[in-house]
Amino acid sequence: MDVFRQLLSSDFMPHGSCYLWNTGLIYLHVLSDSLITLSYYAIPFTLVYFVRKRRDLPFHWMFLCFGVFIIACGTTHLMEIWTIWHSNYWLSGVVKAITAIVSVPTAILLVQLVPKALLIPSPEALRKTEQRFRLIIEGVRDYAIFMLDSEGNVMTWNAGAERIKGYKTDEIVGKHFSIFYPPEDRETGKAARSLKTATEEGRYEEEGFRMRKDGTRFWADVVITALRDEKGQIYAFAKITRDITERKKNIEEIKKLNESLEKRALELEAANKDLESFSYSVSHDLRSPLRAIDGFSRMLLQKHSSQLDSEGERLLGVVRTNTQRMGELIDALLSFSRLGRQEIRVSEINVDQLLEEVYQEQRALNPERTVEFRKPVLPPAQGDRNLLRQVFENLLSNAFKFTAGQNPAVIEVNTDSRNGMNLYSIRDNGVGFDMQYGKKLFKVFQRLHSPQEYEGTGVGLALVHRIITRHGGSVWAEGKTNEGAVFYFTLPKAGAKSQ
Amino acid sequence: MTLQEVEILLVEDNQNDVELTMDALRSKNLANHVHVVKDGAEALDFLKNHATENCPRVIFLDLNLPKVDGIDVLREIKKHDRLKLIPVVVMTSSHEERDITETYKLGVNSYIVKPIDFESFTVAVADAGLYWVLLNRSPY
Repeated sequence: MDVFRQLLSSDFMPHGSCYLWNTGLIYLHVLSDSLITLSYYAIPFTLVYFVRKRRDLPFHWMFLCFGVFIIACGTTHLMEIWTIWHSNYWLSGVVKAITAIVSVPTAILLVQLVPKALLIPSPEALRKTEQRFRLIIEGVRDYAIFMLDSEGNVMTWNAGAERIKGYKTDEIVGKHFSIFYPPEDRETGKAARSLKTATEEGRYEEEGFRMRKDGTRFWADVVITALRDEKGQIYAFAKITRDITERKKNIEEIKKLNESLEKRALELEAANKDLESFSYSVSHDLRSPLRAIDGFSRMLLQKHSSQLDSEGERLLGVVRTNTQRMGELIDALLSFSRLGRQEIRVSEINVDQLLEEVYQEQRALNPERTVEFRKPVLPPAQGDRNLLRQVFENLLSNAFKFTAGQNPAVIEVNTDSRNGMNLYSIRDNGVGFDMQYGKKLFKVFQRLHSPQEYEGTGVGLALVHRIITRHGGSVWAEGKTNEGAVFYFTLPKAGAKSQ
Repeated sequence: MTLQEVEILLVEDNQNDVELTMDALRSKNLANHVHVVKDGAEALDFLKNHATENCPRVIFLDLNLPKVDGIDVLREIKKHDRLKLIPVVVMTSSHEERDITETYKLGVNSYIVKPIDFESFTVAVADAGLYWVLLNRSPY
């Protein structure tokens, strides 16, 4: 009670006495304080209105602190007017004290807030950033990047969009983006569907045809992203379109090539099958008549020899020799064609041992011959044992065959390295050959000697060539008539990556 | 050992080969007990009629045959409960790898490539005849 009475006590002279009741001075104070009070009271309303409108503003509680502080300040000025005529100085003191209590924390909070507030980019900085990105996007030529409003109407346009779609900015802004879709898609409402997907899933992506202004089509890669405000409302869509017609063309091209390759492979397979059945029937059907010729000639010789003179017997002998030869040719040809189909089973081959083995076999077949055989230790290689054995058999039997006139025959094996492969050579001092026919050596049925001089089918070296080639190696020969021949071939080194 | 009515069933469509084969068998006195059929169908008919009685001791089978192919004849024989006990010797001109593999998979008892050379041919056929008719023991 005392405190309240004291608060309203007016034991002092009113403030007007200090002004000696000078009317001009009193009006000056009253008018000034009134205007200040009015203004101070009006400012918080404006602040509250502003804060309510801009809920995104950071630190909006600070605006409320300011509001309370300013109302308190206004009230102190109101008290100034009151105390001119009423001496309630205790009351005006309390109002001042309240103002002080409100202003101190406001001041402290403001000091603390400043560093944080300084981090907020200034509108100028924001404008610059926005401008920079806008310029970048507007300048992008490879991508059409533009914004759609929530209905799908074009809001912005960039250089890429103009280049890809052919519209200028002022022609397209405000138009609905379904204009970019081909008629058949427009009919089915594809544009609306894509916005629906973007709305529901946040993002829509597809590849499809789009139309340029001139009506031509291009294959586009399209991404639509929904943009939402802080309340989750969609306010726009960002749309990025790329013209990937070229890429699409390339992919189709590759697909076409693949298809034609597959077709080719099938044709080859069929051709291979044909060849296989061809050689199969050769194998079956070509040998029987030969057997009949040989068999019946023989029976003629055995059972009707009394009716044959020696010339007749000789002629039948010729028939039989040629039958034999024909049989050998067929067999050689078949083994040559079989080689093309046969799978190569690669393993590490002890070439030194294999070649020695084959040499000993050939030696045993020609026991009457004097042969000097020279061979260093040969490095191992990678290959198919059975096939390489055929190579060595052919080369060494040739060496034996074509040195028949030499005493002693010299067969010299050597080794070297070439292009990362093992190089082997087999040299003999036999009849050799004329280098101008060197290329014919490795062709099927190409022979440099008559069967009467040197027997053979003309398939052996073709077989060698085919085997070595299928191993990824190469084979060639050097020679001179009557001065011997050298056959070279390369094979993958042991441990090398297989083909 | 008494010889059966039919010791060898020769399945061969080529008349010349039949004659050469018979000549080779004759040299070992085996020619009188050979029955010759000219295609696969005939071979199967004969075998089915003789499955229980007087079945041959061995079948010499050519592969390239009219009507039913030799491989199919072999397959039928080896599927048949009783016939599969008769040894089958393939005698053919071909030494195609796949024929050899295929016939062995089907259970062929021997595979002989008929040589072109008459002497070798005679030896091969006569030896096969001697071996399968006289030396070999089979269930029948």
